[in-house]
Amino acid sequence: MARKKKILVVEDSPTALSMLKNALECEGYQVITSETGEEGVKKATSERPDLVITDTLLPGIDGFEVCRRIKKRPGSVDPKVIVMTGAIDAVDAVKAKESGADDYTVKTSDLSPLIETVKKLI
Amino acid sequence: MSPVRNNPDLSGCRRALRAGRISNGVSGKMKNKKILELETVIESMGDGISLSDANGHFEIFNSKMQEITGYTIEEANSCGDFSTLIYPDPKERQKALEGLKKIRRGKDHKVETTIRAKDGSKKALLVSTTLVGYKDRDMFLSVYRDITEREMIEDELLKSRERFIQVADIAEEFIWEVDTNGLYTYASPAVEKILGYKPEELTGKKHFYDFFAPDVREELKKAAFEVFARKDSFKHFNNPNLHKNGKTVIMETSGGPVMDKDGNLLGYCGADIDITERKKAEEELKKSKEKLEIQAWGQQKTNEAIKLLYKELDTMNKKLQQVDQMKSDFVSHVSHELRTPLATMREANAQLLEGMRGPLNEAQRRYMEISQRGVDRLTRIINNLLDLSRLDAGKIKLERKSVDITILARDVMESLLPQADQKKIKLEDELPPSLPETFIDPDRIRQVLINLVGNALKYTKEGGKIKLSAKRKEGSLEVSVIDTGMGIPDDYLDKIFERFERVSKIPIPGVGGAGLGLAICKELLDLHKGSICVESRVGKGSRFIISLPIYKEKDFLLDYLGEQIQEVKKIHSFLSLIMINVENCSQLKKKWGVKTMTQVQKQLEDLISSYIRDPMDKVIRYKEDTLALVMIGTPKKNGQAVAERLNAQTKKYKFKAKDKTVSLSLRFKEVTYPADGQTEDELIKAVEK
Repeated sequence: MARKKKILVVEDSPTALSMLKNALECEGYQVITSETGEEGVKKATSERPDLVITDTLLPGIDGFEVCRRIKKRPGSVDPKVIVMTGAIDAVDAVKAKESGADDYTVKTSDLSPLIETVKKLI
Repeated sequence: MSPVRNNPDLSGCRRALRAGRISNGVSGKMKNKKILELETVIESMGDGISLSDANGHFEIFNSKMQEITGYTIEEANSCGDFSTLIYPDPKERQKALEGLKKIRRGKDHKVETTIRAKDGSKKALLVSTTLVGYKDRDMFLSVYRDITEREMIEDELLKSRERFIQVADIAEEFIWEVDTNGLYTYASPAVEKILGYKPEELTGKKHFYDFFAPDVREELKKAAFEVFARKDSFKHFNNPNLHKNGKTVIMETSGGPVMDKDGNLLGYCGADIDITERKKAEEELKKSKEKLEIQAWGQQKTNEAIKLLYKELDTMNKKLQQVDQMKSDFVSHVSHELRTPLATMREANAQLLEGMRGPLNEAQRRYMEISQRGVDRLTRIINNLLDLSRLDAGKIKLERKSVDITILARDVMESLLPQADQKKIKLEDELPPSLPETFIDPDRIRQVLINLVGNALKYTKEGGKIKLSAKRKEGSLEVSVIDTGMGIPDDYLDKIFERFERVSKIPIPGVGGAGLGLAICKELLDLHKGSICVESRVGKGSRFIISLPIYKEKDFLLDYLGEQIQEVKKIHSFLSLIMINVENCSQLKKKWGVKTMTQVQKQLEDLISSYIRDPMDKVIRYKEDTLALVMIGTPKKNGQAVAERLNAQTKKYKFKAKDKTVSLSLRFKEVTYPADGQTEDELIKAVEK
């Protein structure tokens, strides 16, 4: 049986965090969390997740910086990164791509689009 | 005899001559044979051979000589000075003769010279001369090699080289040649512009790999020599080089091997162009493309995000609507629940106050009154709440009538005058004698006006003034309530029509209310397709203006019919329209005047209204001379029956005009939905036919 895929969620709002965690765990993923960007970058190295989902607005370094740092690491296989934003802004999508993100999505109360994106990437 | 070789060889000739000398001691036959052999050799040689004395007399002048010079031996000997013939230029002649003087026995003297042949053509010759002994004399023995062709080839070669240099000089490409070690053997002047070095700094001094950018030098050098080893040509080899000033120059090199006739590699030659700019442009283009791709991706993602957010909005909306509905239901439910106990309280209080349960003393009476006022206020608030919730639910239907607003306004003034007097506030009006009638719900508008004037009374101090005015403004009627009260601060002006919004959260003595009145006014005006607004200054007072559209009669009927048809459609029922037309309307108007006619019309309207039983049926004025009766749920034959009945009854009626009896000539026409028309327009058309 294939091992469970590991997802790291970087999100500072505890409610959003628990919502995401629950939804992803229901889909059979193993979920680890981080509430700040810096912690997220560290965990991306130490925990070796298959995928990182990061919010854009974070205390300290923002989601784009998190993405950039994770992608810059010299490593054989980077984790895929999804950048999630609460604000709809065309600049964000381009910014996400420029930071090296693999995909970009917005926060909605219905999490199925996010789950779909996750399934497509890992 | 020795074969002819590259350089004219005299040794064979010498041997031949020696053979001739030796033959002196031999028998005659043998001597002839040897001479023949000798002659044959000399004649067959590919080079010209001559044997001449110091005077220029030729003993031997072979056929090749003839060929070269164009002269025979006889001609050469009989011409006088042969050298003059072949050296027309005195200087050249001098040189040649001087040369002869230097010749010694046993020594070869080689010289390149040019002679003029008999036919005038120039021949380039390589001449080898030596001094020999022949028949006891010193003779010049010369071998002549025709090198004219060789000279021509050399000339061509020179020209060719010159051509090459000319082209290489002006070409923008850097044209080069290197040896097998890569050392420059030729560099065109273009190199100075491209790499900053002069050609002379390269040729013999630098190798092609000396200019490669240091980080790739070793691998490019290796690759180049691999190509050399295979003696391959190559095209468009991109290589980064360093300009003398340190800048990087990207070159595109093409070249091929230079080989000798045996196929050995002598070196390489080729041309380079500076493609630094081109590479830059390519990079820019690639970057632009990448940027565009990212933009496109960004756009697509944004579109997807927008779609998601729209869905989200929709869901939220639905939830909000649900919540709104729940709230309305709740308010309505609670209000009803509250009404009952309040009613009980009111009744109980009233009875006590009436003294029905025994007499009350002064203090008791006073406190009972306070209690009753409280109950009344509570009741008002709950009624307002209910009103609002019913307005929200769309449950309030307007009972429209054709009304002159000035009448309503005067009504309101009358009802509130006592209150104003009590508060010592001056309540006055500025109303025209009449205004065009419009279809409104008089009770609701009265409610609005009472609310507005009531508010004015609440917020105006003793000695203040309140004015109620009305006027026509184009297609609308405006009613204003102006007071000299507290006024409303600017930042509240647009909020006061919202529910539960009160200017001051601090209760002002004598002022009650839950902040619902104005909200209800606004809703009621909206239902009438009218409006309400306010102007105010703190400390000066406020002016509330309501505006009601003057509903043209026809429009109202059409509107109403349209609405009712929609309702009736839903329940698959019928609608009947009966038009009652006063045929002699204009005559009567002329006779009795407009005012009287209006009164008569009113009577007719009241009469018709009194005959209808069902509250769902309505009498609406359509035109000045026509009334419309709209009945819901009446199929065709019922409608027709009603029309006939009305006809009969109105015939009997006595209409009064200025104390006189009038007879109206009435016409009744009936149409039904859906039988006679599917829309209001169709019905009207059908009934007017």
